[in-house]
Amino acid sequence: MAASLTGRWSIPESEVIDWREWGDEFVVHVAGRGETHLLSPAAGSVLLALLGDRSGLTLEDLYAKACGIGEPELGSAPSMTEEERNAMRAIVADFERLGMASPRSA
Amino acid sequence: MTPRALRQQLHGTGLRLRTGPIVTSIRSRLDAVVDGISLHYAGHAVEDATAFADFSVSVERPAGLRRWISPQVVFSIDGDASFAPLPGDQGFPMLEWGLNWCVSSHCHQFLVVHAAVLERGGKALLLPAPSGSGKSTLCAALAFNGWRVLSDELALLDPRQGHAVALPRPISLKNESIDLIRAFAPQATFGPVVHETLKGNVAHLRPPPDAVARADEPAFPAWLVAPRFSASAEARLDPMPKARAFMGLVSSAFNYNVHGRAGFRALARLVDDADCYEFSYHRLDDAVRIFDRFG
Repeated sequence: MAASLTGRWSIPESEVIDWREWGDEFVVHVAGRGETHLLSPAAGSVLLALLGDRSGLTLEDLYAKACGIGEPELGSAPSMTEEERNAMRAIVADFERLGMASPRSA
Repeated sequence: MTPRALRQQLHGTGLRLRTGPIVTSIRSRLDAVVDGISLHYAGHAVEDATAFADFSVSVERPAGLRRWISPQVVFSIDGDASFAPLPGDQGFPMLEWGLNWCVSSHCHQFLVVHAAVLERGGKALLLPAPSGSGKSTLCAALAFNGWRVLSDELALLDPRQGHAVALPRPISLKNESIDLIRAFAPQATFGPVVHETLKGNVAHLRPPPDAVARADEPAFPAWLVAPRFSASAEARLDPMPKARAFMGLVSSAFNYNVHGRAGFRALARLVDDADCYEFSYHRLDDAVRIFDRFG
């Protein structure tokens, strides 16, 4: 499923994620699949955002948290450039493929 | 143990040889295997015939004409010959490769990593690397220059405590490395060169006495160095990002997935605590000098 702008994303409830951060690089272990991945700094920041709020986040929420902007107020989400939007979509799509994120109904 | 007693055990119920935490019952009627064990394992402990053996292995001639015509050797574990036979003069290398397989496939009480481990001043140096990277050559050079070898090939890491457990066995050298180490460490004791194996020409180097005598002394990894031999490279030691070092360890581990979350945490802790480097080298003198700075 392609990451949409309107959907919300979260780590699957049954999934156990272990991670470690060194400098600006992350490694993550996805227990359900027994897989380990090296994450870019951007992907690592998105992972931390998802780990910090398992109720479900939109791409805007994720962007804001990953950038350390803080909670976006309703209707005033931080603006993403098209390039950033595409990058966020790609990260979330990768996470879904790797079993680290799944879409939630709004 | 006298040569006669050794031969009797190998011919009979099996020699229960202790290598670090592992006891292997070995049977063989091949002279090359008897001689190889006599040379390389002379300082190792031998357990009583009634002692528990983690593995029961044999290296023998196969049944049939291949005992005599283009003779072959067969490695068996618990009576099961799982591997293709090899030419008849490769009995001792086959034993060593078979023992590696036993440990990497079954010793899941450890995280087993394809790496050499050496120790100095109570701290362990881990050299994870694929075949052909110069790992064993570097390990052999350091083993005769102030470092104690815990293992040349298989790092046994305790997943709970984090230390490396010694598995002192012969160091396997290939091709040009054989003459290189002969010249660099003339005090080293070599077995015969076995030609045209799957890995090229192979010779085993007897582990230094200190490595065998101190086999029950573990060490905590303080340095993780990924070595790479390059014919054109000056010796160079560069810091390696820890995340990349971690992923290298994961890919070098034989049984990482068996350990699940505990494996992830154990390797992450190791990388937390170790200084991580990439090391390229050409001359062993330079390599030894650089590693002298450690500790």
